[in-house]
Amino acid sequence: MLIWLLIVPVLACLLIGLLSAPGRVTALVSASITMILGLYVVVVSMLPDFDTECLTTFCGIPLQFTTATPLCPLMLLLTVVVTFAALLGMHAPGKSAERSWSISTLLISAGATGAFLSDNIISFYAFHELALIPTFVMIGYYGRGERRTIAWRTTIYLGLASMVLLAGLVMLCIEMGTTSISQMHALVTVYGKLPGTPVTMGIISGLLLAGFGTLVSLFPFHSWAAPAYASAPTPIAMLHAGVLKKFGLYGLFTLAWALGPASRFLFEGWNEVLLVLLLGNVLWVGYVTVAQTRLDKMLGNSSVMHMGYLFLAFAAYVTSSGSNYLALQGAGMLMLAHGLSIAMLFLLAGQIEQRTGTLELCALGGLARRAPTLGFLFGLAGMASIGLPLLANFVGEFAIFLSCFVGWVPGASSDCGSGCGFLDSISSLLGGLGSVQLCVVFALWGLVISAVYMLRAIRRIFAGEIAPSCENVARLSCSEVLSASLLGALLLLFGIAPFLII
Amino acid sequence: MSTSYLISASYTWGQFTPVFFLAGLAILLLLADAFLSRLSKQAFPLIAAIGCFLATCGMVTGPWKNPYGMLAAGSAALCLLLAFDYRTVVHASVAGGDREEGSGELSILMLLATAGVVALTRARDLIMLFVSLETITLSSYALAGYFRRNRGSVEAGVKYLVLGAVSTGILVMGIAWFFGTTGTFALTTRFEQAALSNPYLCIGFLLSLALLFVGIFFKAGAVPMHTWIPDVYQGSPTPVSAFLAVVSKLAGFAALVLLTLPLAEMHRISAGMLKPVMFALSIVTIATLLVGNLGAIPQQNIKRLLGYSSIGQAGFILVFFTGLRSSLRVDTLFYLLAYGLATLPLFFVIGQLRMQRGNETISIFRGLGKTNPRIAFLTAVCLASLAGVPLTAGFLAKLTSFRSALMSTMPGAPITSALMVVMVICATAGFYYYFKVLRVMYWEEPPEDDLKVHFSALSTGVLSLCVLGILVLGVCPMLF
Repeated sequence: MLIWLLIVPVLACLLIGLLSAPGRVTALVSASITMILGLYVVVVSMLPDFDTECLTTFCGIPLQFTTATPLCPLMLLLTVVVTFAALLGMHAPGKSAERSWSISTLLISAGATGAFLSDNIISFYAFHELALIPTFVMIGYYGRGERRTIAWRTTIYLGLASMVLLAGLVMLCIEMGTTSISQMHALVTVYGKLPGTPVTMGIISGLLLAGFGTLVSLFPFHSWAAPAYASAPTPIAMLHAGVLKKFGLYGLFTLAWALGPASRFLFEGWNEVLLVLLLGNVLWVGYVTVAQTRLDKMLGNSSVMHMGYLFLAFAAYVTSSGSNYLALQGAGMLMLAHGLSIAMLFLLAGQIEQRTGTLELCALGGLARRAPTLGFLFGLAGMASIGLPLLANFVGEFAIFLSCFVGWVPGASSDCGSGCGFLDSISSLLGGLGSVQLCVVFALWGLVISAVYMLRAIRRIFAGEIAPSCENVARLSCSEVLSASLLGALLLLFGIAPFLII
Repeated sequence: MSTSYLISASYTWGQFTPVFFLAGLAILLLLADAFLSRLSKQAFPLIAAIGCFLATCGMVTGPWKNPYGMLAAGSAALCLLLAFDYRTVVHASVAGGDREEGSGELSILMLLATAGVVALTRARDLIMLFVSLETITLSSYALAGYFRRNRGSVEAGVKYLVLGAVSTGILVMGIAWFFGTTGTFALTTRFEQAALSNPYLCIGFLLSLALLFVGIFFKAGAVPMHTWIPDVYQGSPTPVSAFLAVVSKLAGFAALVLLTLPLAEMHRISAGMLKPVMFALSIVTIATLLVGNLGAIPQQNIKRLLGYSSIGQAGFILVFFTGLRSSLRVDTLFYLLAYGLATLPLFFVIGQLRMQRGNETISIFRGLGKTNPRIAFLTAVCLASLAGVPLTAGFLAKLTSFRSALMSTMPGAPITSALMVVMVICATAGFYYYFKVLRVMYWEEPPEDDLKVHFSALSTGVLSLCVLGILVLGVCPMLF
C-alpha cells in the first residue's frame, strides 16, 4: 500500500506535465491524498502489534519498503505535511512556472518519501539521488542571484558526496552480505555479526560520515548549503532544507540503529573528529549566521548550524552502542521540529520578499504594523527555531542534551567518552566530563547564538519605523495563513504533547 | 601433436550461421550495388538494417544463442538505421554534390564488420580471434574515411589506419609469444597454467598476455591505445562514429572476455599466481578512467566529448576485469548494453542537430528544452544514464562496477583503494560533463534564427525505444 505514496505524486506530475492539468490544484489534490495516506500510515505503524505486511506489499509483491525503522514514521509525517504546506503557500511567477514548481515539488517529495520508506539500501540511495535532480534544475531555472553558478556548484558538490556515500554503502552491504536494512538489524542483533575488520570498519564509517555529512552540511562540507537555500525558489527551499536534507541524518541513524551494538565499533575511530566538526557547525557557522545581512542567507546558515545538534545526538547514540534510546528519540523530534520550523521560516520569507521586493534586513522594518499575522507567524517560527519551551524544537534539543549524559558517572569518563584522545585529556581537567559531555558544554552556547540572530532579525523586520519598502504591504491571503499555521500548529502540538509521536 | 591442440576443435558450421548470413547479405548487396542500378541506393541501409535485425532475432535462443552477438547485431542495426536517417548527407558528400545517389558501400562495410563481431564472439582460439578482429578493423578503416572529400574524415581514416596497424602488429606479436610459450592457439586454462607454472616460460607467457591485452585495448579504447578515439569519432561520419563507439567497442570487450575467462578460471583454482596480471590491469583501469573522464571535461565538440566519454566508460567496464572473476562475462554484457542504449540514441540526436544547426559543438543543443521539449527529455534520460543517475540502466551498471571493485581483491590493498578513489572522482567528473550538455539544453536560450528542429519519425522512435529500455532495465534489472 505504501507504493501509493509514490504513485500518486508521479501520476499528478504526468497529468500536469503531459496533459497540461492546472499545476497548483492538481498538485494540491495529490498532496492532500498523500497527506491523508501518510497520516494513516504513521498512526497504524505506531499501534502495537499491527501487522505491517499489508503496507509493505503491493498485490502480494514485496516492495522492500518498511516502516519498522524508528525514525521512519516521523520522517514520513514531516514529508507529507511540508509538501502540502509548500504547495498551499506557493506563489509562482506565471503559469508555466507554476507547473514546473508543482512538478518539482511533488517529485522531490516523492523521492524523499521513497528514501525514508526503503528497506533496501540501494533504493534508499537511489530515491534521494532522484529527488536531488529537480532541486538542481529549479535552482538553475528559477533561483535568485547567481543561480546558475550556484546550481552548478551544488550539483558537483553533492554529486561527489553521493559517490563517496555510494562507495561506503556498497562496502557496508558487501561486508554484511545483505542490502536490506532489516536483515542487517537481524544479523547484528541475533548473530552478533560485525561489519568487517577494524580497518574496513574505519574506511566504511569514514566514507559514510563524509558522504552523509556533506548531504547534511556537516562542517567543513557545508559551504554549498546556505547559497543554495538562499537562491532556491520558496517551495524548493522548504522541501530541501526541511525534508530532503534530513535524508543524511535519517541514513546515519537508521544504519546505526540497524547495526545496534556494532555501531559503536563502526564509528569509534571517527567519534572525536565528529565531535570537533559538529562544534564547528554550532559555533563557527553560528557566528557566520550572526553576520548575515540578508534574511534568506541567514535562514540558510541557521539551518546548517542546527544540524550540529543532530550530529551531537548521533555521537551520543553510537558511543552508547545503540542503547541510548533517548538520543534517538531526541534526534527524531528535533529533525521533525527543525524541518517544520525551517520550512515555515522559508515560506514566510518568500512571502515577505513577494510583498516588499527585498530580503535585505536593513531595507525592512515595521512590517508587523502593516501585516500583523505575518509578524505573529514569523515570530512563532523564529521562537521555535531558537528552542523556546512549549515548542517542538525545545523538546528535541532538550532531549538531545539530556541524552548525552545518559549513563554518565562523574569521574568515570571512559564509560561515556570514546577512550583516549585530545578531548579526553581536557576533560580530565574539567572534573571528569567525557568527550561527548564536554561537547555539550560548548554546544549549549549555540542556543545563545541562535537567539541573537533570530531575535535581531525579527526586531529589524517587524519592529521599529516602517521602512519605505514595507509601506504598502498586502495582508496574507487565506491559503498563505493556512499553510503557515498548519506548520505552526504542529510545532505547538508536538511541543506541548511530544508523547503523541515519540 | 594433432591439430586439435593447435586450435579449438569445438567449432561447428551451425554456430556460424548468423555470420554467414550477414556476410552473404553483404556480398548480395555488393552485387546489387554493381549490377542493379535501378535499386535505389537509399534502400541499402534499410535492407542491411533489416538483415541485422533478423540476425539479432536468430541469436536470441536455440542453437545460435549468443548474447554478445545479439547485442552487436542489434546495435549495428541501429547504426544502419541512423545511416538511413542520415542518407541525404551521406550520399551528398560521397558524390560531391552533383549526383543524387552515392554508393551502398557504407551499409556493406558495416554489415561485414558486424559479421566479424559476431564471429569474434564465437571464437575459442587466437586464430579465429585475430581473423575476426581484422575483418572488423579493415572495414572500419574504410568507414572512418568514408567522406573522401572531407578533410576531417580523411584525417580520421588515416590516423585510424596507422594506429590500427601498430596495434595489429602488437597483437600478432602477442599471438606468436602465446604460441611459443603454450604450444597452442586455443584459449584454455590447462595450457596457460602449465606455461605459467613453468619458471622458464612464465615471463614469456606474461609478456604474451601483455601484448595481447595491449593489442585488444585498441578496439576497447583503453589506455595506452586510446589516442585514436577522440580524433576518429570527431572526423568520421556520424553513423560510423556510432558504429565505432558501440559495435567496435563491444568487439574489443568480447575479445577481452575471451582472453580473460581462462585466466579467471585459473585464478579461481589457484589464487595468487596472477597477481601481476591483476596489478597491471588495475593500473590500466585507473589510467583509462582518468584519461577518459578528466579528458572529457574541457571538450566543446560533442562527438569528441562522446569519444572521451567512451574511454571513460571503458574504464568502468575494465574494473570488472581487474578482479578476474568469472562473473565478468555477464557484468560486461550488462554494462555494454546500458552503454549502447544510451549512446546510440545520442548519435541520432547529434546527427539531426548537426544537419540542421550546421556544426558539432555542444552549443547545437542550445535551447532544445524549449524548442523540442520531448526530444530534450529523451536526450536528458540518455545523458543521465551515462552519468549514472538512479532508475536508469546506467546507474545499475555503475553500481555493479563499484561492487566489483570492492569485492575484487583484498580490501586495504593500496591499488584497490586507489582504484576506488579514482572511480569516485571519475563518476563525479561524469556528472560534470554529461550535465554540461543538459545545462546547455535547458538553461540557454535557443538561437534566434532557429526554430524547432525537425526530427524524423524514425529518430524519435529509436530514441523513445532506447529510453524505454534504459528505464525498464533501470527499474527491473532482473529482466536482463
